[in-house]
Amino acid sequence: MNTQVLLCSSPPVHPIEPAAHVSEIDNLCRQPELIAEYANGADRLVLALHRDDYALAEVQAQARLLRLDPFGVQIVHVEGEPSATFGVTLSGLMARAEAFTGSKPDHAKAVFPRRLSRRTLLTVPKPEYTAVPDVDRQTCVAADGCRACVDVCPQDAYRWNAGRVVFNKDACEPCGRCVTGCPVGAVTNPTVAPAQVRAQLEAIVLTSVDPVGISFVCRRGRAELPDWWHAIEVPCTAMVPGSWLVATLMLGAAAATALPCGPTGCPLEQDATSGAAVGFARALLTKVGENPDRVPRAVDHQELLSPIEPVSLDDPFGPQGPVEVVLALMSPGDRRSVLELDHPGAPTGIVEINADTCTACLACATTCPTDALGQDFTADRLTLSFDAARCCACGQCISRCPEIKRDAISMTRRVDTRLLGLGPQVVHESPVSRCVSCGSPVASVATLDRLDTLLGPEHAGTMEYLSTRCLDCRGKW
Amino acid sequence: MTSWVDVARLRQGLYRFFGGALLPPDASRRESLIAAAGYLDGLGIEAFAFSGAWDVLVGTLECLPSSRELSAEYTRLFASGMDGELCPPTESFYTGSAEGGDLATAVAAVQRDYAVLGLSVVDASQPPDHATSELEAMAGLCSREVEDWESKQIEEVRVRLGVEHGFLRRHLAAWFPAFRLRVERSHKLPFYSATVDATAAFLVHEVDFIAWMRRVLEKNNEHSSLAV
Repeated sequence: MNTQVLLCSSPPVHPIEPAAHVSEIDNLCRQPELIAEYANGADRLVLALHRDDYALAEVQAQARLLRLDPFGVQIVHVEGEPSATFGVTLSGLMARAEAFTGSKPDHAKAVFPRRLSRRTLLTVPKPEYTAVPDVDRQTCVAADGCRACVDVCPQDAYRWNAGRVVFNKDACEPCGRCVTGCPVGAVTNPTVAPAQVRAQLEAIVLTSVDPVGISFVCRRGRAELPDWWHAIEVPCTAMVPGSWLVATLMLGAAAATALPCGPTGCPLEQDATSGAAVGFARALLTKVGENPDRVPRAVDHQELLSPIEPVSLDDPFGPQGPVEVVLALMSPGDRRSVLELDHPGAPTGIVEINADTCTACLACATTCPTDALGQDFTADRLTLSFDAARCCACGQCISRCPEIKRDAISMTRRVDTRLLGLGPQVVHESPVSRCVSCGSPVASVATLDRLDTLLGPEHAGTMEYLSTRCLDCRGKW
Repeated sequence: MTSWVDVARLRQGLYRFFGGALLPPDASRRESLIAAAGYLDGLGIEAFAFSGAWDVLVGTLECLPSSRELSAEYTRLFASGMDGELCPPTESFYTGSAEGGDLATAVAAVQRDYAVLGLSVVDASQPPDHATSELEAMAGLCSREVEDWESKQIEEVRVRLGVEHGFLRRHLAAWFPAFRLRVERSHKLPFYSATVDATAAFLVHEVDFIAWMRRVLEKNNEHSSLAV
């Protein structure tokens, strides 16, 4: 793959190591047309530009002239003289650019000036595009009732309508909460794919001579980090779950954190979410006997500890990453075998059923996007099972339970390695009523009893009908 | 920077181009498409997000198979469905059944909209809800938008954009994604897949772009004496 790095060298910046692939171009920020000239033939592109000194719309247009997807172009801002480890930063960005797999038309949101001046009303400004999420309809399980993206979006950009998620691009200020909040990985943002995050992280660790810290930083903010810390940009640090921070350590970084936007706080008011993720990672490290300061709440100039021993991970930044990370963290034989941790930032959950009030209507199991809650019919019973290793604490089961006011179901954000390794466990059983015509299950007896109570004795005939015939046979009666 | 009227002309040209590309191929249409793509390519498409899909389409035009092969692919994809999934380029196939209505109701809805807009389908060989007919309707609306820009009727432009947006959302934007998915699954030659991809990308962009233009004109109505 031909990945090229173009660096605006006005003012001049020297030296950059490793210097390979880097073309220094005088005044590149003000002359974006030079991009097409210098990067001709490139498959991937990394640009080092001066913040506020270039027009993104022009840069994106130049990338398109090179037949490159602008969302795959990595831009790093140089302010003043680059640090001694700027070469490591560039290596990370090159790897991130190479891991880019393309975007779809729906990922592009045109951002134009809200208002045009008298002068600019005469002409159309070049549109600048920002990457917004898109829902893959083939993977999305909204038809089963899942509304995880609707629940996590802080801007109400998602709406659930008749088994389909409707996304309002105009309302979205990309924060990525829906990307990591989707239990099945159906929501994607091409600029922050798990593979890109991993590639950038691994390249930074690999090319750095000294131990490095990795800080996930918000694209909207301006992070000032010491030389031995490197930034991985995300749309908003609230999208980073605690397991990402732990995974970052397991992949070779000496420290990891997710920095808040700055002194004024997150413009999307997501500071509490980022804080919970950092808190969870610290608590988890403490539980396994590691120093929690490997995940600091703020970056300072202190020297970093030596990295922990790297662990092989399959997909730590994917939807099932949290469980993989926790289990991998526990795998060395000398560590304690059972880890229990209740924390509001835990990315895994434990569901409990109240046998006294649950009617076994199966709304929870039907909705559960990851099949952590399962259902099974035997001859005369219905069983509800729970597999902790699949639960991502999305809370969809709680939202859909019709008996939630009677506390029929509860979910605790908890890591419990004993339960993670058990597989599906029966959490509730109920006798089932079967169709007198075809023998198919109608519903649990508890559901029918509850309906009977709600309808009252005057509807006894209706209940008799509902209790003895399945949906398919009701019309045939 | 380019003028608003130029953008309207470019959009009109693209609608016409995509509409033409989805008609049955013959030798003259083939040559016309190649020439038109070359012309449109020089009008600053690289400024817009759909240009990636457009570039792929232009790439396929540079190595088009013979008219005979193209005709066979057209028939297979859009008419017979042999050896794959049938992908009718007609709105009613997608919206008529999905919403529980019959196909004729969906066609009637399109025709009703044409009538309201003062448009009629001249080419009786294509159904009124054919992609080409709907894309041509959009081209017609863009053509009127060009006239409005040229005559400096900003308020007219704003109303026209509302009409364009409404038609686009009710029709092309509603069914084209499903059509695109079918073509993506069933194509054998790249040309029609690339055409449908580029059209879909353009339509997604149009929905956003027209909405933005409307907002700008609404917010700048105090400048209504200014026009290109």
